[in-house]
Amino acid sequence: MNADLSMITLVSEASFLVKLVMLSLLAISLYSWLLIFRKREELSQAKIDADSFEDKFWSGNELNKLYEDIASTPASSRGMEGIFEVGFKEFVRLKKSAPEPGQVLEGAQRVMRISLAREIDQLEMSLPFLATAGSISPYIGLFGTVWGIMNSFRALGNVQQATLAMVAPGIAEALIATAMGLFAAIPAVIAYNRYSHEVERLINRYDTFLEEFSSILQRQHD
Amino acid sequence: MNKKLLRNVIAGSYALALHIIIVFLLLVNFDSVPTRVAVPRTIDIVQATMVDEQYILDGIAQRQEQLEEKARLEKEVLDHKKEKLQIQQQKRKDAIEHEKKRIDKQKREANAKLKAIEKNKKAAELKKKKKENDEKKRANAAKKLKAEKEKKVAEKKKKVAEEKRRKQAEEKAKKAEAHQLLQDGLVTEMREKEAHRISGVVNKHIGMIGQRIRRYWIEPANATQGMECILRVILLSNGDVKKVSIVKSSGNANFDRSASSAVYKAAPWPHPGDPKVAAMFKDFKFVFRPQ
Repeated sequence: MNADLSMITLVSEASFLVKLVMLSLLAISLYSWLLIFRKREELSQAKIDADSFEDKFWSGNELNKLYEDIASTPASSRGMEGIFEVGFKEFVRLKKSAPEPGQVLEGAQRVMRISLAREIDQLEMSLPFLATAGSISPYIGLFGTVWGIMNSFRALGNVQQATLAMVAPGIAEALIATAMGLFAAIPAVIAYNRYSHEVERLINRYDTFLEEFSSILQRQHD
Repeated sequence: MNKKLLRNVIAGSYALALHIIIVFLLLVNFDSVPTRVAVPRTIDIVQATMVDEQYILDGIAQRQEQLEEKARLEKEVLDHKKEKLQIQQQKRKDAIEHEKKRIDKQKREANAKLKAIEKNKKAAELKKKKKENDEKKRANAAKKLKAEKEKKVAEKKKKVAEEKRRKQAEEKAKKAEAHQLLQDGLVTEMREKEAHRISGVVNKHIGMIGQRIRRYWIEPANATQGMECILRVILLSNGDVKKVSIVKSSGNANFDRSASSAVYKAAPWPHPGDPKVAAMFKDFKFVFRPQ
């Protein structure tokens, strides 16, 4: 009885349910890595954009000119730029037709808050999937393992003389499911923690900018 | 839209490449390890079973002989014990029969005695009944006299009792009045305590509001020391801010705006814990003083 314990045979000889578990874990792992790569690129791009915009904003240029620069680019502006563009546009529009001085600033602020909420929504998108993958995939893997071990013990019950060699392949094959669950979960949890922290910081930056920008608008208006 | 798709595809291909590399590494590592472990184990098991069979067959024959001898010895001992027990049982039976005979004799003698005693008793009961009848007649006559006397005494007692009852009722009324007064005092005291407690909760809540606004407040650049403004805050029941207006401006519009936006940011506002206090803080005015 020379059992072939290579990984391929272990996986291919697993029962249908365990195979299903492994397949779904592989899919979860693939998708969460896809999100990890995409989110990393997205967040670093947002950070670069915010840095360059803040540089431009605090360089002392005229606000009108900055607005024209941003508005003239064909792509719709995102992040801090978007907040600035929307807020300034509304400010100018209301200033021309403003019935009362208080309403101008309030209107601009409201529009910027809406824009900020949209940004936050964008930044936080697809983070929940990482959290779910991180917390769920160990359980899925464990389920596959328990099922596999259960089956191998059931087969053992029908035999008079049990040897370790009869149980070992079944257990080894079942344990692969747990290993895969952990393999999918660990990067997802790390990425979730890291990215949610980064998103938090970005939101804080946007919020502070919004506050500063509205106080500048207030000064201009007076 | 196209750009997004492209990004997804790029990220997906990264992920796929990573998985393929890891699976490949695992396969290479995995194949080399278990074959080395698995071979010596099977040999071990085969050797063990070979030795065991011979040894066990010899052992079983010897054991059986030993067991048979033991069984024979035990049987002899048991037979001996059985004989002894039979002799003892015979002796016990004889003793029990002897005693039974003696008890029967005693019972017969006792029955004869009981019959004699019963005859004597019947004669005595007849005498007693005659005596009792005579006594009853005498007692009835005496009772009638006594009852008349007792009636008179009872009437007198009734009058005295009624007076007593009247007095007691009056006393009770007095006591009840006093009790009412005491209760009123307690109620007012309770109200005072309640008011005291509420004012404590209110003070605590006001302190909390100031702290919370200060935490969310971003100081405007041109604010000077000692500025303050009065805000009017209207809250919804879930703690969200419905409206903030400035009752008294600090003179600096930036400062006012930063204060009111701090109130918005601090939402949802915590519940004070007491429904009465919560009702007070649905719509309140507040002096914002950063220092």
